[in-house]
Amino acid sequence: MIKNYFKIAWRNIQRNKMSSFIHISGLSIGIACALMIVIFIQHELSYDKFHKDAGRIFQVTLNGMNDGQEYWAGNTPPPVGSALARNIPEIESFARFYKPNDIVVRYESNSQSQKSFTEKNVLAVDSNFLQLFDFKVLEGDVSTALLRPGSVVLTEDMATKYFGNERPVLGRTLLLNHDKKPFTVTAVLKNVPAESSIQFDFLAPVADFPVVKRFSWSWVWLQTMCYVKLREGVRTDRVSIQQLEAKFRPVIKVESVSGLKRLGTSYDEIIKKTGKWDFRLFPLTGIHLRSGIIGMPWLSKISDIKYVYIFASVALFIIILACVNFMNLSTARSSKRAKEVGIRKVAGSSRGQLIRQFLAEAFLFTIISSIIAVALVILLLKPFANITGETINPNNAFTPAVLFAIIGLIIIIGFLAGSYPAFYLTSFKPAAVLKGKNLFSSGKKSLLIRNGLVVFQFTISSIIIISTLIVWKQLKFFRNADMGLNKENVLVITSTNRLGKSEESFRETISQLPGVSNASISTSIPTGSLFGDGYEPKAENNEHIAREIALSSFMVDEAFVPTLKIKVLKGRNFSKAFSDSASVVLNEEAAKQIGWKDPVGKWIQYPGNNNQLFQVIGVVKNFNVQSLQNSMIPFALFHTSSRTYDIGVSHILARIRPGNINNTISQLESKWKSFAPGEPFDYNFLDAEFDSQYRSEQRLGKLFSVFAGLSIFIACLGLFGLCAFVAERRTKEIGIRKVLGASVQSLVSLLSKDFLKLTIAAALISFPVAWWAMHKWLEDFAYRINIGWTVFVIAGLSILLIALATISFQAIKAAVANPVKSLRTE
Amino acid sequence: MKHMIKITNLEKIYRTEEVETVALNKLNMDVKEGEFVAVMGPSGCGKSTLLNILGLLDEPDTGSFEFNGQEIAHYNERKRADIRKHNIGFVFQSFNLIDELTVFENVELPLIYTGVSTVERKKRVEEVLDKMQIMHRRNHYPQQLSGGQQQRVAVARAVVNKPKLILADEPTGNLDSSNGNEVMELLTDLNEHGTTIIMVTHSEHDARYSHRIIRMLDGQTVTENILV
Repeated sequence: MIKNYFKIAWRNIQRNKMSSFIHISGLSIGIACALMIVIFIQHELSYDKFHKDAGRIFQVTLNGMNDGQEYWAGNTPPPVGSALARNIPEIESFARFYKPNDIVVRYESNSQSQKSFTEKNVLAVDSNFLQLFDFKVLEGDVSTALLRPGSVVLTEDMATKYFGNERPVLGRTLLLNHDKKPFTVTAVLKNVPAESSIQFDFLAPVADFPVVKRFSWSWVWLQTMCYVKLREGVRTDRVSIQQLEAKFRPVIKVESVSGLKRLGTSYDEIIKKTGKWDFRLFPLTGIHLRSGIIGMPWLSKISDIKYVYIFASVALFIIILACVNFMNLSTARSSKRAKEVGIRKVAGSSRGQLIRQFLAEAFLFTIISSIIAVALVILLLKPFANITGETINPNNAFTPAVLFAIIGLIIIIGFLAGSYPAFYLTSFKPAAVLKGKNLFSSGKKSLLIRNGLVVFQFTISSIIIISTLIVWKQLKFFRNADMGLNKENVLVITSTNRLGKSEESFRETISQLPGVSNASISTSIPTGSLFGDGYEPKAENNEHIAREIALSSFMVDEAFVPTLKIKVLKGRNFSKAFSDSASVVLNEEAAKQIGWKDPVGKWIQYPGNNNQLFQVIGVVKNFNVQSLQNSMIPFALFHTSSRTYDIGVSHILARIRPGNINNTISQLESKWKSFAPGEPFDYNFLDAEFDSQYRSEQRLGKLFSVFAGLSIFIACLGLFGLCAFVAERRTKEIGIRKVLGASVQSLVSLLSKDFLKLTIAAALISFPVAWWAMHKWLEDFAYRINIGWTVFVIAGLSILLIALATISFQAIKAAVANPVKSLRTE
Repeated sequence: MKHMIKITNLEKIYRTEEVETVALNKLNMDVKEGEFVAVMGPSGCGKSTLLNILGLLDEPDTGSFEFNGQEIAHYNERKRADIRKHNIGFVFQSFNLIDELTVFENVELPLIYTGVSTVERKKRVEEVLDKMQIMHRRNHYPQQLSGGQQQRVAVARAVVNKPKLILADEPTGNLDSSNGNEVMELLTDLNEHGTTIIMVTHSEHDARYSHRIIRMLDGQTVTENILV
């Protein structure tokens, strides 16, 4: 019997080629879309789960207060790991990493040939890093690989990059950094999986990075990431972890005594002054999606569970859209099939058998569509992964979970899509059907359902379209907003500290180039890392100002302000005419937060470096050193000569004259080569750096564009089918009207009017929903657009036009048909 | 009397992939203004095709068709529609009323399409409904009426525009005899007031209301009986 059902279903598919094509293409696209999203979500949820003990690994985080503001940081002071591990029996082990600045790595196989690259992904780690985590080893012994200083562990890609096919790799020497310190390869790892929040190409022992040792006592040097592994059997539910965290305070209080004493403070004083200074545990497997409010520097690919929810609902909606289509298109054909139902019933078929017949048809469609969908996924997974910015391995994509999802989708869609036509069509009374009575004119209820479904489809499409427009509008705003600095045509030559003493003469040389209008040496660049610390403004004449302020800063030369075209509002910029080693330039925000109306001439003190004093010489207009997701921070510029801190790296920002930029770049490169033979010339553009800050928003924008296109396409397929249905139902009416003198034009408008009303209704429903959703999304950004009414007008009009185009095809077809045919009495 | 319709050597052939059916085979026919003509013949003899061509719903393949002295055999759709809506009313066997519209709205339709003003439309529709004695059902829907009443509405719709010609395709085919007679009386009455009527029918009884019976076979007229 089942075979018979499928046989007849197959014949029906073949007979109605056009509508079968619409069914199958709609369902295939819907299913393919849903599958891709399932694969994407699976990928997102799988982050960091490849470690054998992932469930027992936690990152130590810092939860403190600063000026009454609570903050969370993933970066913690160096001593915290050992302090906790020594005193808390539940903790089995800990491992830290420190992310040094970019490092130049060289391989000299013989005197002639040498390879050198600037490597951005080097981590300095504790010796048990590879035991705490499970990065797969190809060669070497993880328990000893990082024990000795001067060891280096690299990934297989790096092994190929430096050594090509030379084997063995173990025991070979790489020269690191400016001083060409030799490092011996002790292990080769498989490439770090894309699903790892910790990404690296090289690992080296922390012992090789003196700065970590120098600050190993410091409880305020927040430059390491610390992970702990709990003992087996320790409960890791939320409450148990909170109980465990409660044990940290007394431990920290005791362990931090000497370190804090060196800074002239104590645990109690910190608590008294700020209100909070707690160390917490954050589960490793939650970092990728749920670490939102915690600052997680040096980890790549922090996403947000919110995006998983957004994409999951989009997938769900697209599937529903495709199912709705199936229902609507099936009923569209029902007037043709009603007779078949009548004849079958007369011939003795029970309603149950007929329902099964129609369900079999729906399942056949779904199965065919699923097969096509899987093929589409295999074809399109790579471009899709590119859009998401994730590396998804197609070979790993079809996990049992995804296969299960496919089967689940077939069953759900088969029933969802098949049930309505099955129950609707089989409810016809055979006598009425066979007499040719008009079955469709009286069905107010089914009309309501169909119209409801159309409104639903277009509401969803409209919401997605509006959201897409708003995402792009916000991205455009990010690119064009007034940032207080001019980021166009600024070329950044990175890590120019490699030039050592000749850095300044290199800067001078290049600023003489005709294509360069200005060049400046700075310890960091906008979008780059910030040095931040607490400073104490000095009150004069009993003025009421903040006692302390957290300032982020760069150390720069005189050319920084003019190079970035930052506006000086009060006082002056650094100048060669003065000695500026004890000068500071503040931004407006810093002056405002301190409470100074006229800051020029006032003093701030830096307890972090022997209470060094700085006099404010100027105030500049606020400029964004971070992406526009963040609000303006109090910021300071210190002069290079102050040497108030040492972060061991500096960069040159060069303002390039527009026109013939490539020529200028090659001139810069040749100058670089003459100053630093053998050193790679690494550069970037400041506007590109800013753009890269908005990757997740760009990803959202691109994905939404795709989804918007697909959803409107699917909705239009449905509308197309429904128009066919209505045109068919109203064939007689159209014929009559035509005989009575109706023009094609008036018939088209007659047929289109109702649908356009539905589309308008859908648009109106979608507006507040989309406004609300996007308002929520925009709240995450410190700098955001006003949603405004234009996006709604654009979305509404485009939906209306697309719908009109879809409808008019059927309407015109119906209107130009010869009425003689529809009015012929049989 | 003036010729309203003059048809010479009219041919209409329907083709499918395998079969060629000659619906009208060099047919000749004249109808004078004010005549009441019945067209009879067995199924498939080409009556309906003829009626469709006469009603400008279909075009002939070859031959000439003069309507009111104008050669219109190969007018385009728009021109034919224009002549149709100003000159011709239709009455069908299956009434062909629009189910979603009321009696009043159904009758009003031809006036809308000829651009008559709202006030004028109301006046004329009420006039004709009154004449057809279905004024009391003006706000009902077709399904709520009996067959005879539905056909009266259809006739009302056919005449509301005061056409010169009414084409009736078995107007009593779906009616019982008393309702059928009523419709035939209506048509006769219209004819007496000057409307030309061409009626296709299977019923000898109905045909006797006409002035002249044209009998068709295989797409040609075979005999003509003058009754008056």
